[in-house]
Amino acid sequence: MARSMRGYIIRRIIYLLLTLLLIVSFNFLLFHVMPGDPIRLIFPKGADPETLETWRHILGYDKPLWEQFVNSIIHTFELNFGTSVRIAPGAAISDLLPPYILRTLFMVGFGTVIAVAIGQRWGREAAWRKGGLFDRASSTLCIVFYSIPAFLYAILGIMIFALIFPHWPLSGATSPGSEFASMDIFSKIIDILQHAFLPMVAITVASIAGFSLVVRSSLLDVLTEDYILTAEAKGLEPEDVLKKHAMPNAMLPIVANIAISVGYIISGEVIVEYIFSYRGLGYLSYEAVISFDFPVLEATFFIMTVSVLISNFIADILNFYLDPRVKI
Amino acid sequence: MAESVKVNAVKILKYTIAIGIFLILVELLARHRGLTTAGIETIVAMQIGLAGTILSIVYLVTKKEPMTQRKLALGMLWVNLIVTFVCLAIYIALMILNMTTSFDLVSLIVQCIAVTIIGYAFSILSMISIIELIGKSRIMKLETAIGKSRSENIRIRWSHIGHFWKEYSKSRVGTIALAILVIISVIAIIGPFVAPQDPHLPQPVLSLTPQPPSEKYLMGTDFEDKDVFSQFLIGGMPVLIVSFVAGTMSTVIGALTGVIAGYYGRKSEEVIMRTTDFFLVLPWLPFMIVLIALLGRSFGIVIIVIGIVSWPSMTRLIRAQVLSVKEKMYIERSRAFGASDLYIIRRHILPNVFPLVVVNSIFMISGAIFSVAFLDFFGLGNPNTISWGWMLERAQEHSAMVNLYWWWITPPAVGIVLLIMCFYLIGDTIDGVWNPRLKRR
Repeated sequence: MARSMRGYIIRRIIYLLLTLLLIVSFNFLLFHVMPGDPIRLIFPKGADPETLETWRHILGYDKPLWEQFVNSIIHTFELNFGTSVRIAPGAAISDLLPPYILRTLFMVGFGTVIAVAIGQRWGREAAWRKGGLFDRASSTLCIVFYSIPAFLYAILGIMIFALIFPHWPLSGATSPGSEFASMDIFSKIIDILQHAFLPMVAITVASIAGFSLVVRSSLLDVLTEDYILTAEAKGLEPEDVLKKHAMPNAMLPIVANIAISVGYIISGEVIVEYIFSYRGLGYLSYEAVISFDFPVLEATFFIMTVSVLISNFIADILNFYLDPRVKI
Repeated sequence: MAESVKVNAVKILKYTIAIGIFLILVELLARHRGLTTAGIETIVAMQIGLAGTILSIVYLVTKKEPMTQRKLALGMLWVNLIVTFVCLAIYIALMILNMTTSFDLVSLIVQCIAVTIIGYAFSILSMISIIELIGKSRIMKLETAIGKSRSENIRIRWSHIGHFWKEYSKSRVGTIALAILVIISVIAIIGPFVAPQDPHLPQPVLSLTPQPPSEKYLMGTDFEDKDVFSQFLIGGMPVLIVSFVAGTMSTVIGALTGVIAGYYGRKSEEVIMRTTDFFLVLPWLPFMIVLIALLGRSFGIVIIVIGIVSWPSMTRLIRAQVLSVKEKMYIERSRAFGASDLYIIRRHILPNVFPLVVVNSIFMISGAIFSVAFLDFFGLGNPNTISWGWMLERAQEHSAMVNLYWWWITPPAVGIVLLIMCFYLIGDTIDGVWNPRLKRR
């Protein structure tokens, strides 16, 4: 059994690497091959030809295409994303990225965990009381929540907080100048948490309804199975039936769904960061689009894609642990 | 025979004159709107109509005593339809290629409607003339000989629709959603014509801060003293058009690839499914942002981008359904009788996946509204057109939330949410009507 598990993981890793290679090629196709002369996209017409040539050399667009392609693969594995043009002119993007990645990771990670925790609980209650008042009310509520785009939650949050707490910070990731102010570590943490609170609530609320719907439907599937009837007939407490017999079996589709929805959460994250000017990857890609800094855009897109890929990979591995049938 | 040909030639002439007058009217309307590109669609429509008429005359002259009249008529219908669609496709492609950021929405709407109406009008009119030329009675005779009369066929079809509606209207939620959707669509369509103020022009209140609703400005004014109510009336149309076209496009791509992958299997399946796997890994909003940043901002690009990003889930659904249908006994049997793949797909596979396609196309449109709203809000839609997402973006830019200008934010936000919700609920209800076994949930 152990061998088959190792084989499974190795197969998954090979698949992961292949997809990674595909993503690198796709990115290359998008940013280097498709737009004709990429340097023309970045610089306006009438730019100084000498500057153009310098930047063409720095960004590596002067080499033949195949060499650019090989370089882009090598650079990806070296975690070298090239040079920023506008946002931090001349700086290496890989030096620029870490704080942005950390903030987004913090946001998406916590947001997902909270959303899953609440959504799972909510869906469970709804499925358990199927057809009751709670279930019907929550179904209606779920559809309403499901149809509201993430940015509207953000707008609503800002309006409510602007009305109730006039001094609550509504934009940015930290208070301006807090890096230089002589604050103790505790008040710094509070500052960061205050800034992160509203964006995180917006992301969480936007994804709770989806999770709750999935949990409910997969649990309903399980609850019609015979072994649940058996468990009830044995005289187990309903609580035990739900927690020990139904939930573990309902977990499989839920885990798969969490992995899929990471892509959606990242998408919501981009827009929420934009609204709150929260300096994460999403805000960085917005800045990159606005200022035509395509190397930065390429890097942020690559990182977001890879994070979805990795979460899919983790879900596959988890699936292996949860589902004994895969092991045979 | 010669006599009747002469009579019919007069008829064709009459139709042509009528259509010509119609064309001139459309052209005048377009000129009145101040459009310069409006000539193109009339030319395209001319081509369509001429093709239809000339072909019908050629048919009549060469085949005086045709084998089966019905086949001829049907053939003409197909020729006309194909010509129409090819011309439409060429025209739309041209339009997208020529589309710049300074493209005006009203001209887009007028052109789309004009091309569609004229194309179909020509097809139908030349169809009518052909049927008249051939003689109605003989077609009827032929059809009764086959078994069912034409009117009976139509009656059966209508009873299907009636039955569907009976089932659908049992769901209160679905009916209400449909009603709301109809109301929003009507508002969006007549909005540009009934808007009380010009939404592009500042109103003479000279305050340069948003004013709360008053009698003259029902939803107040925005930062540049522009009327929010008029903006709201006009802003629904682009959302509806773009999301509808984009949703249809991803549905068509998804259904085609799904049927191919499911039915043919093997290598085509492998290629298509790996492609969908890959596309599902790309996070959709960043992907759309990247594509639009590279391709430029216009309606055509937004439609294409949403279509590209959202087809894979459709493909997977359709493929699964096709796989389950493919193994059925009757398909095996009809293959044993020598039916070709195309015939089996047309007669057995497509009718089976059709309900799924329709339901999911509605969900696709709902998702497309999501995407359009996101893109507009992100400032990546067509920057020169007023849409609900665009209104929200400007409100955000001028920090309307912090200042609590609720009259500026609420209308577009409510519009977007209602649209998404209505499409979702309608899709859900139709799903319930066509797949009753899901009702237990």
